Amino acid sequence: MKTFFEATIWPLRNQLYRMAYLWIKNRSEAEDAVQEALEKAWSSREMLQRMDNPTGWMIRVVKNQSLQKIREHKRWAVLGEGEDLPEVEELPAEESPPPLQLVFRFLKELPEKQQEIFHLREVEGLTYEEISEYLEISMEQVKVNLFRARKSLQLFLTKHREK
Amino acid sequence: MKKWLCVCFMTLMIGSVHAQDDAIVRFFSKYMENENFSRVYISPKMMQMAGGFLKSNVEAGDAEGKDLGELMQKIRGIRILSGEKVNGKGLFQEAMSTLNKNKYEDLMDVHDKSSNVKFMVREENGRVAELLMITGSETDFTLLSMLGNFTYQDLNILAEKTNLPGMNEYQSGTKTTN
Amino acid sequence: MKEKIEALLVKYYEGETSLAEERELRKFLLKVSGFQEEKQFFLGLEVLKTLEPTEKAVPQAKGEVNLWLKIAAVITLFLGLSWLFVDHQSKKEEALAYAQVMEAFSLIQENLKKGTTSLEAIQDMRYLNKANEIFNINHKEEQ
Repeated sequence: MKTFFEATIWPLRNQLYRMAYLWIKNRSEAEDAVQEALEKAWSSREMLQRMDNPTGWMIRVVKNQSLQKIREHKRWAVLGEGEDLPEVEELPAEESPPPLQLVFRFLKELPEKQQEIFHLREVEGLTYEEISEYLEISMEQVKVNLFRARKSLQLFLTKHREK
Repeated sequence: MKKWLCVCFMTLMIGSVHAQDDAIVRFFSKYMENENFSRVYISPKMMQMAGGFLKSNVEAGDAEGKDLGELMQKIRGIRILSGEKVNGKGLFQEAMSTLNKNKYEDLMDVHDKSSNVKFMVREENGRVAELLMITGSETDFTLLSMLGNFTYQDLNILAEKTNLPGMNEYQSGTKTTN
Repeated sequence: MKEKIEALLVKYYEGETSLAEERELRKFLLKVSGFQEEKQFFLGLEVLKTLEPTEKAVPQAKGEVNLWLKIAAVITLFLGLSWLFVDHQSKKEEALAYAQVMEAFSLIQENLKKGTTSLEAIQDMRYLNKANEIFNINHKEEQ
């Protein structure tokens, strides 16, 4: 019989890794961030089990760990909820594979919240409902943010085409 | 502590089913508080414990140990009243006079110029219910009462067998030397 | 095909597409020519989708013991020690009791030795007495 951790938290690992990668854009650092987040989850697993939204908690922790890693490496700009994202410095690590480069170039332009929601929808394939649940925001907010992100994408691709 | 022992003593004596001789009770209690005397009371429980100790420390094949164990089982209790630096001979006489002679039969008597030793038994249903030992010399006196349900053969163990486990270690050297 | 894609894209940028439609859109894009930027972008997303961390083992509560088990272990240990202590104490008491009994026995033995006759002799005499009594009675009865 699987424990709560094994059944509910551990399976999120890949997803969480991708989210960490979204922020950090460095494979080993992203893995570290996820590992750290999972360790935190492991030691709080009893509390986690009693939570309504353990996944949301995991996502938040991973984000925090990721951002912390970025902080550790370079100067950074304050990222708050609802604030517009200025610059998120890349870690001096690796060159992303070319296909990813385009995606990241686009995402860089988005506010953090839109990045998150866009990622969860486009990469993880979650429904509006699921996104709203994980991030603990309203469906309305999900829709609005995704709409904005996609509009930005349209603009971005048009610009790109014209180059 | 003394008072407690006294109460215990009295309660047990009074509570005894096989009622001990009143005289002995009186005799014991008379000297209860007397500091010149030392008292020993070995209760049935202690007899049990002694038996337990014997069992766990003596090999099963040891015949003498077995006999000793059996003897211990038949003894209910032992009381000893003894005094040093007392008028041993006088006390001896006193003890003898307080005894109800009808109940006790002489078992052994040893008199010499310095001391008296007397063993007596009280029988019940053909078996010994009490062994009484009274010794008195110039300065020492001992009164020992051993209650139980044993035969003369059981007492033999004490008389003749000297190789009993622990017997040598527990020799009380001071009391009865001349 | 191209119209379909165009239609879907419009819907997509309005945020109106369902997950199924989005999947469809990506499928179609692979089949047609053109839409280079869209293709590239969505390809990037697909690559991102496949990223996975290195294999790791799930943390197991191996060395860990349930709190209740810990408590039970402590209680058991305590009980065990208590028992040992009590057992030791009672053994001491037993030894003590034994010593006292043996002391009393020695006292008796010492004094018994003083007698020149053994108890058996006395016993024999007593049996003799008894025999006499019986004999007397019988004798009396016979008479």
